[in-house]
Amino acid sequence: MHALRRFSLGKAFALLFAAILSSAVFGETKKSLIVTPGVNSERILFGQSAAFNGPASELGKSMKAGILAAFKEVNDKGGVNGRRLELRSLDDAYEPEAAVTNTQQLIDEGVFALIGAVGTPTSQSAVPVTEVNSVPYMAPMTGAEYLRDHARYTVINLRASYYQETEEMIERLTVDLGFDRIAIFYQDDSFGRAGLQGVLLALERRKLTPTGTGVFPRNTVAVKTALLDLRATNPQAVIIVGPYKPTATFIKWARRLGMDSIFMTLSFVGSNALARELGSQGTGVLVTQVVPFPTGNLVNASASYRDALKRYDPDLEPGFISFEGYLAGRLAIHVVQHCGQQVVRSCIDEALRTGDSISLDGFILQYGEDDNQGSDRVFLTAIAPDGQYTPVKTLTSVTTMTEDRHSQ
Amino acid sequence: MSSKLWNRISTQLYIGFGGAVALIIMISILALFFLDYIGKIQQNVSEKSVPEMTSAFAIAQQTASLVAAVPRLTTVTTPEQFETIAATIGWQADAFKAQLSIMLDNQGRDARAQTIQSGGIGIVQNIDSVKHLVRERFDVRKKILDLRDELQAVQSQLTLVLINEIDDQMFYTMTGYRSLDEDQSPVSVHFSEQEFLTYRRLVELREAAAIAAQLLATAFTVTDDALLEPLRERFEATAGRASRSLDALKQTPVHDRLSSAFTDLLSIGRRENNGFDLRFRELTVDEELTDLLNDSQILGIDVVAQVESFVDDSSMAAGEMADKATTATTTSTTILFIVNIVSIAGASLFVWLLVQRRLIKRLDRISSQMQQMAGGDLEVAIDIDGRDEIAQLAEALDVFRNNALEVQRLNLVETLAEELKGKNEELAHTNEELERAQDQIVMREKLAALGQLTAGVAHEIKNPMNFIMNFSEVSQELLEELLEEVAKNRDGEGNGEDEYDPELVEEVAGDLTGNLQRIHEHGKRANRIVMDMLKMGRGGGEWQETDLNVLLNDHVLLAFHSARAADTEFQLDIQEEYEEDLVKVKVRPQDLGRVFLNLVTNACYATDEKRKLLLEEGGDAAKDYLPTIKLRTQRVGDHVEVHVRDNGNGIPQSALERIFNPFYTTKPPDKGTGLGLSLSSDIMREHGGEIRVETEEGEYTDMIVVLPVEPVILETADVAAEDSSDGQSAAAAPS
Repeated sequence: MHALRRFSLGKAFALLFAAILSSAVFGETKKSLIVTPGVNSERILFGQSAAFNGPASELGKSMKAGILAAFKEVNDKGGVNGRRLELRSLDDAYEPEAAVTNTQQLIDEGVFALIGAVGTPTSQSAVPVTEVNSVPYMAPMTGAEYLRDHARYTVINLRASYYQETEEMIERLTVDLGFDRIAIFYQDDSFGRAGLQGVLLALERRKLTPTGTGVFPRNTVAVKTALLDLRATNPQAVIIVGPYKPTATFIKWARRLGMDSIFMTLSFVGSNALARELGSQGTGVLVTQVVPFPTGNLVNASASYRDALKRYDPDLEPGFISFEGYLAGRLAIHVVQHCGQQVVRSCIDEALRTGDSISLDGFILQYGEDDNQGSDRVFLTAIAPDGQYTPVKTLTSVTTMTEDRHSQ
Repeated sequence: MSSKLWNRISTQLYIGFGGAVALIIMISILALFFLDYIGKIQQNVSEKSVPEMTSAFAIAQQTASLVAAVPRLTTVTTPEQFETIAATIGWQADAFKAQLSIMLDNQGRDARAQTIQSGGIGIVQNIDSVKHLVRERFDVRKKILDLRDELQAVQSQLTLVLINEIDDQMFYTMTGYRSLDEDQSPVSVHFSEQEFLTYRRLVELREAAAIAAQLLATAFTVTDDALLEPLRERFEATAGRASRSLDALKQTPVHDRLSSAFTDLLSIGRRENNGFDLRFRELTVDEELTDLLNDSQILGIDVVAQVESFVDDSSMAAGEMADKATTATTTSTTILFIVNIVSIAGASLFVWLLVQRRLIKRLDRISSQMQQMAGGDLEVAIDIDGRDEIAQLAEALDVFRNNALEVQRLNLVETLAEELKGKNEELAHTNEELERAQDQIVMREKLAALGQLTAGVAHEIKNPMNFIMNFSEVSQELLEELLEEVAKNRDGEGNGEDEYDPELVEEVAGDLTGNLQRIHEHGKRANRIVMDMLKMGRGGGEWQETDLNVLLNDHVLLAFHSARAADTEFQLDIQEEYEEDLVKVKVRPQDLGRVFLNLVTNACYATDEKRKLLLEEGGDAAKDYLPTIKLRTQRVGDHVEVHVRDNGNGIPQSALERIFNPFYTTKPPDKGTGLGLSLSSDIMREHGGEIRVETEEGEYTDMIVVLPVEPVILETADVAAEDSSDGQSAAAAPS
């Protein structure tokens, strides 16, 4: 009798508990569906403001292509928890004002998060807008230090910073080749200054100063006057901080003028576009990358990327930027998967900043409480004589490559 | 109608009421007059001063609000806001104009009204001007903004072109390379004065473009229109320089790329509605607006001042009116107060004179007299003088009173007769009852006495009867003895002793005869006793000449025997002192006998009581005491006195007064009725005599029956005759 009663009581309590729990879960689910912008039972919408016109358009297009490849890949598998991932992209033409306008527009229209922005001045202008609205700002294609500040709580960086890239450059130049005459050519804006600052810091650590600095106005190819300035200092290497067009112009004129310096540029340059612009003049130009070699097999992610690209954007050549875009897409998918049914913005931090490292098919990301940057890795590549990029272990080979070109 | 009309109360009342009505009408007319006067004053205030002030206040208020609204028009930032506010102010202005025209209609001749009107219209016109100007300013600002955008676009395009051109020109001059596709030109060609000049022109153009753009930008922000002309002047100079530089480049392909952009840039500062003109216009509009605002403010102050003066006047006028109204109110109050006092005094006098003195007082008097009359006093005098209705009423009342008095007297006689009759009947009835009661009482007393007597009689009869019975028994034995002797004789046998003895027969016969004689005597005696009894009980009611000694003796014996019958131990010594040859008195022997019986019985009781008392006390007094009754009869003058004196315990002085009262008795309830002496007294009164008492407590009581020798006979003569014959026979009877 006593046991029976206890059983009944226990059962009753269990039922009661289940009822409360289910109602709570149901209520919460319903609430999240209503409240979180860009999320409904069928899809999760991401927003992107990037350059799809102008000198940096290649970067925006590549990022978008990479993200879409990742999204389509997962959508074809039934989406994440039944929800498709979608991307709405707006063109800011690499202009900060437009980036602000676009970001606000996307937030107003209702996106779950922003992803794949391109450029330092644009990102720096857009982030305050996201902070006002507490909208996540994922994987901007920039290495600006400003976005690595952990006070920028909406920002989730995927890639290594410009400082890390410039540090790698100076390290290689000074260690591999023993160079001490290094000049800097940079775009006269926040991106260029960020690169300049990184180089200057790296040089300072080695008790060096740049032999010369040259600037060019943003969105122009008026690089030749600066070229004359730099040529006068006879540098062993020129580190160029700018997009592919002026960079390519600079390198081509420099080579035309017979400069035998090593030209190094940052990942942001748009590697494929640079190689295309340079054509035969590209051989031996060094580009630091923040993602592994897309055609290599260093990580499984590269193969996944190539498969996705082949399936969803077969006309696009694999490249670093679209690979970065693909990884950004994969990061977004990882986050949304972690969220489960309840896709709310807060679960992004929960997904990333718990301390455990994340592997996107072997591409390791490590975030932390005060660390909003996933990858610290910088990969050095060079344009081979065939116009293709090739990973570079040491710069010795590259000088050989350059000498080869000269000998030709 | 005989009295004069003036003397009538109704006339006086009519006159009084007429006076009151006249007074009320007078007061009402006065009040109406004053009310009308005050009303006119107030109407004056409310029709003139109040609307004046109201409209003046409204104008002042609207003026203030309009003047305050004007700056709002100038501070709005968007045309939409402006239109909203402009519409609102438009309504206000319309209302204001309407108010102004109303005021002008009312106060058209007043110079201040004209001023207010013109000031108000000025303000409204100012507002229209302000609206116009603000609209123009919006227009100008819009154009300036467009121009700025154009400037920015032209400048950035020009800069971009110039930067690249300068970069190219510099590079070419230094290196001889025009483009990557072309071969290097000889030093003499590219490092020439010509190329340097081109470079200089390009740099000049860049500077000129920057300066021109800067001048225009400055012009857009300058706040003093005086500074615009110097700017324009410098802009023209810059434009001149740019034109010269551009002309110098005419032969180069650069010229085509730059000229149109430069033309665009310079036209921003030169064409119709150029930046300077627009900015100038904007500043002018601002100034005009400021002037208009000031003007409006001044006008507003003026209008408000006029309105204030207007209001002051109106309020002064209203104040005067109010003073007048106050004066009128005070005057009217005073007059009405006086009239009221007079009215009240008049009414009081009227009431006192007519109502109180002539009406109420006299009515009260008549009323009280009537009440007195109603209370039965018809003798009251009606003394109302005058010749009015009340006097008539009094006269009529007097007549009525006299009539009533007459009627009352007649009624009184009748009533008394009636009452008397009733009382008589009542008395007769009572008397009848009384007689019946008396008869009953007498009967009871008679029965009681009979009871007492019966005991005595029974004793008297018992004695002879004993003798008779004894003698008859003895006689029977004697007769049997005689018969035996007779039988001896007849049988003849004889022996010694049983021998017939004639002597004995004679002796026995002699005894028998003696016995029969005694039986006869005792039988006679019993018969006589019964006869006496019958005699006592019968025919007592007749008047008879009676020997009082015999009557007394009979009843003494009767009483004595009665007492003895009740108590065998009773002893009595009866002493008789009868007067010889006492005159016979005509009495009713039965009644008188009852008196004697009563007295003797009382005497026996008293002595017996004393004896018993002495026995209880013990001692020799009881043995020495001999109950004694002394009976004495004697003639004293024309009276006969019968004394019954006992040596009993007497009558206390306290009881002496009451012994003749009916039902008063000192005996136990079973021994006396309390009626004996009362009846005796009555009987004595009937005989014209009385019973006197002489007594000493503890010693003796002497009851004295006093009878007149010539009795007063109240009965009829024939009864008396019959009585006298019976009395003779009774008197003849032995006692």
